[in-house]
Amino acid sequence: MVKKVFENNNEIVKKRNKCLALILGLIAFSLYVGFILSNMK
Amino acid sequence: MSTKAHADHDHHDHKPTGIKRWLFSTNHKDIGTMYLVFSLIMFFIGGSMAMIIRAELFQPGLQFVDPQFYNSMVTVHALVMIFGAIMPAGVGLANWMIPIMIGAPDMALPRMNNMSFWIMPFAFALLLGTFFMEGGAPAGGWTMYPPLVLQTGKAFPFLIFAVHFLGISSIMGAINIIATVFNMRAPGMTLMRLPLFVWTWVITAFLLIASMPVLAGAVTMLLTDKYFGTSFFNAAGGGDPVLFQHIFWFFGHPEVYILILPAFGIISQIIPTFARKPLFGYASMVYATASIAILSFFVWAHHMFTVGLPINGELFFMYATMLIAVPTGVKVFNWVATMWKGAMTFETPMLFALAFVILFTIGGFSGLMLGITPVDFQYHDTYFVVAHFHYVLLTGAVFALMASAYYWLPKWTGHMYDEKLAKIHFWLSAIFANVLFFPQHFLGLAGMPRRIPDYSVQFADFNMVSSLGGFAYGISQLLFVYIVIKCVLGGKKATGQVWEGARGLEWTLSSPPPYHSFTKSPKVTKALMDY
Repeated sequence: MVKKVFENNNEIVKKRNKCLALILGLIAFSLYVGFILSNMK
Repeated sequence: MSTKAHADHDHHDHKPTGIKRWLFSTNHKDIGTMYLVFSLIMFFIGGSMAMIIRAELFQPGLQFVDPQFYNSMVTVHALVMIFGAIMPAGVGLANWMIPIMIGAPDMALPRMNNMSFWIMPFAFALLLGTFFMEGGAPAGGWTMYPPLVLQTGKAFPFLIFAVHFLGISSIMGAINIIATVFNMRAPGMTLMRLPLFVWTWVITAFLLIASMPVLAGAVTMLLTDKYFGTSFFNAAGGGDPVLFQHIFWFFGHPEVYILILPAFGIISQIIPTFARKPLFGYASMVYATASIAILSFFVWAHHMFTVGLPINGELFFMYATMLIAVPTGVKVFNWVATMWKGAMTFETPMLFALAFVILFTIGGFSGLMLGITPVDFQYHDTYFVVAHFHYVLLTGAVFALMASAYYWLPKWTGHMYDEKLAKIHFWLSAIFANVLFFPQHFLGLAGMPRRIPDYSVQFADFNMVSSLGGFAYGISQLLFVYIVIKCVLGGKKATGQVWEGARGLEWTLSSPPPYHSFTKSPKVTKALMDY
């Protein structure tokens, strides 16, 4: 995986970067919404 | 990086100039520079507020400002220093150094990198603009406890949105760092070869992603309580103001480690360089950092022992707090062991690093004292707390940032800084930071409450000493600006290696590094990373 940055597979790395960013962003957003919802009565 | 991967970047291989270089930059070094300059400006804005606080406290009685404005100073000083100075400085260092430390062409998501920087000036324009509004700036403390914070005037929504924007900026920065480290490392740069600075930042990034949404949730609930009739924290409507404290400190304690873990990483880079020895216990440093990060989520209530927690809860949080001293002790032990029998020299970065180890440990020990539940009942909300967290954040985090600035300035600018002036800056900072904060321990033990513009005459002497230290510390930081500007403009040429004992990929590049760092895939070997 790491080697691919330097070996002709930049698109794959870009895709993986975006994918990881999306997952982490979703985790952060669900924590935000989840925290508010869990404190509602 | 001679392969197609670099060719993909070639369409923007030119170096932009003028305002566009900074406004639309996707280059990690330029964005890192903007973060660092921004944080220095905020350091002086927050510092000016500290000067007003110390001027007011120079003598008992009300001298210069009215109490409402004083409270605004206390509140905004904290917000500016935490979110505007220390955090962006850490992100700036991460931007500059992580790609060249791991052999990556740039950050993983360069456009998002640009956005996460440019959100910050807008957020601080919102926050600092409140000084010119009816009712003044927020004055309820940086912790924003309800119901007090709900009395904020027109500044309230600006405060809430500023915090939201800063949170979004931090989360985007954190995502970028994680993606960069996990996806963009050069061949041979295994996880257990990562420089400690990179490790501490990866762990910090996870802390940011886990804790920032909690703060955002808490302030959103404050907003809806004030404007949309909800009662999350309103007892009259069935809510609970103490709930806010739980949620805030569930964010707030990891936040403390967000501020200090990158500092640990910086110190772990600097001490081996100037001791000319490999870092003692590399793996244990990584595990200790991770342990501190995990434990930081289980100690939040030690900030609120006096609100009336069940006794079992207080015991749990006291023991959990004590537990954090173990991995922190591992780190301090490892730094000292790295220096043991090393061929040490004492250039300015090393002096700041040594001061960090000693003074941060003092701050750590006073933290342990505060973590003991029955003792905290006396110390809570006194100047002892103020002394504690300034030892951790100023002689801890800020000293580490100063150390890093001197350590990497030659790499960034291509010039050596003025060592003699830098040493004067160090000694003035080290002496006056202690004159400023050490007496505050005694004030706290004698019972002086924090966040008050006036005080009983029995506290006058120590306050005067503290204020004098504060003014001297503040003025001596102007010397740092002069040294940096002088270094940027010229000086003795720095070699690529800069420091004889430095190890790692960043030192294989020229000083300053080329606009696009690696034109060939760097080869990472054990010998390159170690001795």
